[in-house]
Amino acid sequence: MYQYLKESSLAPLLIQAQKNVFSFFSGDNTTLFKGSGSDFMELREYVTGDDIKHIDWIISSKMDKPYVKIFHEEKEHNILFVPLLSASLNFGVKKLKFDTLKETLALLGFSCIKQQDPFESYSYTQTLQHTTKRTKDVVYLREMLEEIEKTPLLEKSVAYKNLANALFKRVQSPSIIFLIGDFLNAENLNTSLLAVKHEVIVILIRDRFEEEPSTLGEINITDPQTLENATVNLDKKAALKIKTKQLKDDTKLLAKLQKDGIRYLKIYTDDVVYEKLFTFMSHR
Amino acid sequence: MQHFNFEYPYLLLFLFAFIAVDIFFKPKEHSFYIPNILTHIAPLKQKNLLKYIIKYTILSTFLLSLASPIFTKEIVDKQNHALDIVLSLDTSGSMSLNGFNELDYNQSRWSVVSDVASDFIKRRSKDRIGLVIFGDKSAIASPLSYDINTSLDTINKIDIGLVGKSTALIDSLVSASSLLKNSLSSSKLIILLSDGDDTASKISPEIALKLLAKYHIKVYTIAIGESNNNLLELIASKSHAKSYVANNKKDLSSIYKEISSLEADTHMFSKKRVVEHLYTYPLLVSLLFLLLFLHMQRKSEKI
Repeated sequence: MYQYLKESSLAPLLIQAQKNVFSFFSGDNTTLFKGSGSDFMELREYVTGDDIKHIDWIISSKMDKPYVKIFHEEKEHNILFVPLLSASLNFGVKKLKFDTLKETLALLGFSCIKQQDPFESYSYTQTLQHTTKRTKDVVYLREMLEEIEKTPLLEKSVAYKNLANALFKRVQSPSIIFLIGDFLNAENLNTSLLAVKHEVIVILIRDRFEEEPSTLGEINITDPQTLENATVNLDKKAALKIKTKQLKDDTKLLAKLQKDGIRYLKIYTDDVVYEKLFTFMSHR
Repeated sequence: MQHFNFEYPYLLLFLFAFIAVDIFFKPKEHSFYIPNILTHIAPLKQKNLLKYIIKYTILSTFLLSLASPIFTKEIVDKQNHALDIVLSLDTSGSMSLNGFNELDYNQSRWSVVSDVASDFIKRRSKDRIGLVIFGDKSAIASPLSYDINTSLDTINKIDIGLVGKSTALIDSLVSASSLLKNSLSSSKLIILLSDGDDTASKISPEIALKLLAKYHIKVYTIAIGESNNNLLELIASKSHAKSYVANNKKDLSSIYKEISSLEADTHMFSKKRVVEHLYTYPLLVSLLFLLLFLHMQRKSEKI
């Protein structure tokens, strides 16, 4: 069953995610896209992971390519994962935000596999990078995560300004797009157009320290994005300043998302990720 | 005389070692990757400078106290028994003879001796002087004292025949020894002045010599005129001192001067160095700054 995990450093993560998905996520996710009846049928080129029972042999032989029959009542969605890889992910008091991001992706991936929804992924920092082709295969989920894990994070920062535009141009068919990142300093994010065409779900990965820093006193800090190094005095005053600033930024960002009709979920590094996701996905 | 210096000044060179270490061996600072903070709060500079200054104050004051600054006072100790001198003077009848002073023949031997002895006492203002006179027996005229005026006064009041007309020379030595025996001074002198043979002593010379040797007393003897001075020479040589013969006042004063110069310099100025150690003050400053530094450090690391 776990053959796809051979020689993978992500094995514990994937096993846990798979276990969580197959034992806790039950029922279908609700979605904005509605199917329009059991009699409707569409033909689509075979992608890896599709059930071979659905291959229409007549059409396939005509076109010289494998084609599958799709019934809309199966509610097959195009799922797009877009992890926003910035250097600030490499932080976390007990668990790295980066690890939480990978866990989230694994859980979402397994949910797709379980519900026979094909998923695709692009990683984004300054430009959109296609990492996984459209698939339902668990092997590609592993590969996607390994690809992400390999990505060097230091000195990377996300260009939020171009994100929506790039996705809008690249993704043609209506999809459910998961934007997963920490969304720090994301005031340039403009999703209003993207949200019209696709269903966008924003998952904010955060550490509690970022929103409510503890007073550490004098501490030498290196900024992972700029590699700027300095000793600062993180006293009550400074902590309050950071807290206020972050709260203000977040309020602005979340208000914007809400206005665009975008669902969002904030996952902290000390959260139980699958519980949060499960609750989020089953309620609208 | 007061002056200031260090006992171990070379220890101050350690400061350069510390400075060198500070420059060339920077401590490795632990740095944490924390996003989104440096953009919000300004890095520290002022406080570090203050810490730096405090650190060096601690270090330099500590080294200063290690180098042991001292404040030296040189004072002449009056209480130190520089020299204890007993003048043993003959007041027998023969001292009344005139003609000893070549300038004034009417002056008796005694008045010349008392003049010269007074001069001597005045010159030895830093020593303790005692007076013993002898005639039929010996008597202590004045105990050992720094009080010059009293000694001079006593000499003036002494007259010939005060304790009889004969010459108890050896007895006087014993009396003088009894004055000197409790003395703490390193140098004890008797200046014995006589013009005749011993005629009245009840103690034998051997016993007297033993006493002198026991208490390490030097006896300078001065014989006046053509008397039999074998005994005086014997006493002087046995007590490692000198014997003189004075024929006139000039001789006498020069003899006193010579004795004065012989015993002069070694003990005349007994100086004492009083050393005041001042290391406690920089050490106190160092400790106070150390407490301040620890307080600051604690405060800055407080969570």
